[in-house]
Amino acid sequence: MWNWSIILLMNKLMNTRKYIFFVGLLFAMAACKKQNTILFEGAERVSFFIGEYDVDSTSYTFAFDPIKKERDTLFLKMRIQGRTQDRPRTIKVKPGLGTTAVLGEDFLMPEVLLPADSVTINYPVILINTPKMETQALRIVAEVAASEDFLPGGQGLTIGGTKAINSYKIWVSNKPERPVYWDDVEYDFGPFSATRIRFMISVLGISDFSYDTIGAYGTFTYPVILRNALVKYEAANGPLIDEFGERVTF
Amino acid sequence: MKVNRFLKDTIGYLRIGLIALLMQGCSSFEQDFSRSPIGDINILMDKSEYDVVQLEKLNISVTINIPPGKTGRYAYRWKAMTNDAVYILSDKKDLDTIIDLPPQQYNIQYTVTDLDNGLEFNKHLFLTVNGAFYEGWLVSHNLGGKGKLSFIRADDAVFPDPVGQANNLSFPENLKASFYTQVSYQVKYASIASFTGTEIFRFDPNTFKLTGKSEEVFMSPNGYGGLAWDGGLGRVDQYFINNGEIHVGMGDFYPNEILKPYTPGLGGDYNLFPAVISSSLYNTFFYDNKYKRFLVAPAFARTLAVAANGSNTTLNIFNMSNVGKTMIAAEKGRVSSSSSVFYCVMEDNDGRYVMGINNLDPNLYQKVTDSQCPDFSKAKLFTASGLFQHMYYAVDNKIYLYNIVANSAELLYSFPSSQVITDIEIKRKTSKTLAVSTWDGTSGNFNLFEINDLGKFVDAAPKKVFGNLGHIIHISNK
Repeated sequence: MWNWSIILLMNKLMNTRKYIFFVGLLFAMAACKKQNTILFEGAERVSFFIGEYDVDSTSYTFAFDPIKKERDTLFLKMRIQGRTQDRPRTIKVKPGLGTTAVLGEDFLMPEVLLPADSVTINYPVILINTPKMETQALRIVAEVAASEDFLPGGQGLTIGGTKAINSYKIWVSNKPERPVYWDDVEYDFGPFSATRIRFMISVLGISDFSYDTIGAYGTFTYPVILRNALVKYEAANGPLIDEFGERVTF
Repeated sequence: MKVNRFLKDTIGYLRIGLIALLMQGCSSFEQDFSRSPIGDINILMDKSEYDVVQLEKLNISVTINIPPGKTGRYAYRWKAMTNDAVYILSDKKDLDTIIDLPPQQYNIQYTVTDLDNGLEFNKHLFLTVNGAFYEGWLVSHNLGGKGKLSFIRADDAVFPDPVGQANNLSFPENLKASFYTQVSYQVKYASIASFTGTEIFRFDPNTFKLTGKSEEVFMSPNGYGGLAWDGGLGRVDQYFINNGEIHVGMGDFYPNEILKPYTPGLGGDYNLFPAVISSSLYNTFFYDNKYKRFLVAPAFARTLAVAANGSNTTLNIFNMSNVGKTMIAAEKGRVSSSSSVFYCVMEDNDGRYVMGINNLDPNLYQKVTDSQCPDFSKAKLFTASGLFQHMYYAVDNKIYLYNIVANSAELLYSFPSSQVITDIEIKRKTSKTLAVSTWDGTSGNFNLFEINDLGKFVDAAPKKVFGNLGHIIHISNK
């Protein structure tokens, strides 16, 4: 009896194996089905984007413009998250929490149209030179706002080494503040002072002395031009003394 | 039970199918190695390497052996290739075209395409394109108040007015000088600079096409005169001296900036003699005839400082920071990879001297007398050999060889007394050719003397004379 039970059990198992084998064959045949490409589905979004190692803020001063400006435009890079469309789409940016400048008085954030089939756009923040900026630096927090076409985008590091962010801070003033790049050019132009940079602007007619802008040629050549100009200035006016009581030299 | 039966049959059929596939896989394959000819052709040329001078015609005849039975319907293509560019030269069977490629080496690919079956047959060649003005003498000369720059090529071909030909340009006033300015190893950014009293013109050295003038080349110029140029031994900076001031250009570290304008004068209380004493890799010397001392510009610097006294061992030769003499000439002698020797002709109330600088230090100081060196005290034109410790100097119509070691000179040649020597220049590349320009009051000659291993002239007369020139004011070598 014991032996017959084992034989019956094994026969049952063999049948089960056949079922499994048959079903496996059916699955294998079904596996050959062509897979559809997965496409993005979801809301269309937009965000600011910056370099992987860039900071999410900048400063701007009207104080160093060779010719006094009533307003200037700062462009923030924006990129969509989603598909391109064959029609222009509206992008909105609004002042965010922590903004101390007054919209419509100290700055403007216009509604802009992303052209058809475009992925990126430079969003213009229009800065207005107002008297209070001579005594204080105002903060503008630019935040992506929902529009009929876009929601604020997802944030974080993206493929390609850029960062998507939804708010960007701008400090704007009309005070002669030390530019953030000055460390890079201090060897060439000397220690920062408002007097020094104003003299540089008046001689060279430019206000951005960062290495990215003036290059190696500028760092070698501009000091000579400034030195020669200073000789003429001193011949007419005596030494140029800065706000720290130091004589300006190049 | 029916399902069980169905499964059993299905698996049985699958097993039989699998066995059939295996048996089919093992069956022998009847391979067919027969082929029909594709019509190979054979391309024959005289050489595989060609040299040509830019803007001259290159002719390469091709013989193509076509297999029997072919109709011979072919297309042809000549391509010149570099690492970063491809130029189509011709679509004819034989190359017969003017080569207007930039001077450099090219791989030439000659392709014959069989139009019947699309097959391509290639032949590869090497082509070296030499600039039409690859090597020679820049001769600046004036006549009737107008300057002209002539080029006398190394193979004696004379280009009387390449600037006029290339640009339909004539210099509006007398020329002061012309220089071939190339920072070593940066031939791509080389140029020719020609100066009149009020203007500078910069030309492409391969074509003489105008590439810039005025403030595109020189910042804040205030007229031109007393000119000298050198790219520095270390190639870090390039220097132009003009009217006692120094202007600095970018060097080898920033090759893309080499052709940007030179700085304005660095500004300082000095009056520089027109000589750039590039005796050291990273320190370039200048001589201030106002305070009669050497000044130095370290690499990358845009200021001049008074030169140091030299090392302890050379202090007794002379003090570079307090020489007390007027510089008359400074000529480059032997050059190594890390230093070069300069011979400076100096003058004070007691006469003339030759003082040497090697690298950073003085290495020679000797008084030179007319008794040992005839007319030396009157000489203004000097040039030095890069091989021997020799200088050549000219006074009126005479050329002398000054042996620096012996501190004595000898007359090498006298032109007819009606001719006055206006400039001399040695060919630095070999130090075996001396160029001497003369002026007889109405026309100028450009003379070339061959120099032997003793520093003397090989022949009793100029080896070559090129006439019908104006008053030659400056000679330089390209």
